[in-house]
Amino acid sequence: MQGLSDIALIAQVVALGSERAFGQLVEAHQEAVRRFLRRLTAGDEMRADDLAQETFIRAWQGLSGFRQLSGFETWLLRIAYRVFLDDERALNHSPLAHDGADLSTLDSGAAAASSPSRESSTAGLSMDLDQALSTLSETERTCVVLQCVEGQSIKEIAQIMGIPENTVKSHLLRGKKNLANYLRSNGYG
Amino acid sequence: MEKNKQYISSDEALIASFFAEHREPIADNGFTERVLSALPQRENASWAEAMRLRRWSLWLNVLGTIAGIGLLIYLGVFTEWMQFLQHLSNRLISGVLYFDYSNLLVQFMLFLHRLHELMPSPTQLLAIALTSMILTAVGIKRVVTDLQ
Repeated sequence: MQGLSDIALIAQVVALGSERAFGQLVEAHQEAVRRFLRRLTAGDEMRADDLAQETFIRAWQGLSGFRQLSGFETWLLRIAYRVFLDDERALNHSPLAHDGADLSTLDSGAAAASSPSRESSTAGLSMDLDQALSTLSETERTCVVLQCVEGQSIKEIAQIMGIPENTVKSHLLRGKKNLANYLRSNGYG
Repeated sequence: MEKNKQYISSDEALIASFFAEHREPIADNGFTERVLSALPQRENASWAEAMRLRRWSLWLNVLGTIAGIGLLIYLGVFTEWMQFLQHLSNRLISGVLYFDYSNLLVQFMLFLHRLHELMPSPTQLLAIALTSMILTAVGIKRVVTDLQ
């Protein structure tokens, strides 16, 4: 039903350039896009909202290219992931990035995941979602968030990230194992 | 192997409960308004693209209609249909067919019977189907190329 109303709204945007219809699409999907980007940016709400805004602007500009090969939300999440990667690249190339002050969302998580001693030092603190996710590599985190938070299938995750389904499966397996180990070592569950 | 499966399923349950506990609703709080106010003017290119597609669609429809009528004339169906209509109107005018639905049905069955006799051979049908498929494929390819 959601898909049908999305298609009707998309048709209005493409054929008539209706901002009102696009507004309804944004309203219906803002939560998924913003939540996904918040998890990718380790809970940085302002940055996530800026990226979400950029995502919807790109969707507005490219809506006539939406071929319905996937659901509209999957298509939006794919744009959001690209916007995030572009932003990461821009951050990496900026002089500030080399100070190492604001790189919590980069692949450093992979190293952290393999060193349980780091996690155990945070025991006793309230269990934080982004703290737990930061123990995963960027790719693992994206796969886990898309499946466990956004409810996307492996096929859809592969479309969003532009990687093969088998690669998604192995990232999911490794990411979930690392995450479960982190949660247990912090007394969760 | 069994033990490994148990670990995986317990991991899944642990992670599912963790994410369910941390699920936060995100209220719009003016986000949609901010997006709408930041929208750039839609590029005219998409309108030009739409017009080009419509033009293609129109031409394909015109060609399809001409081909369809041509095929009906070729098969003699068109002439047969016109004769049936003429026969029907003559009888209606003369009052013979007034409320005579059974007669109308008989005439229509006769028309269908003649139509059956006029049906092309399997070879002709195959040739028509192949030609239609090729024309459709060419049309679709042109539209896809235009889109790219």
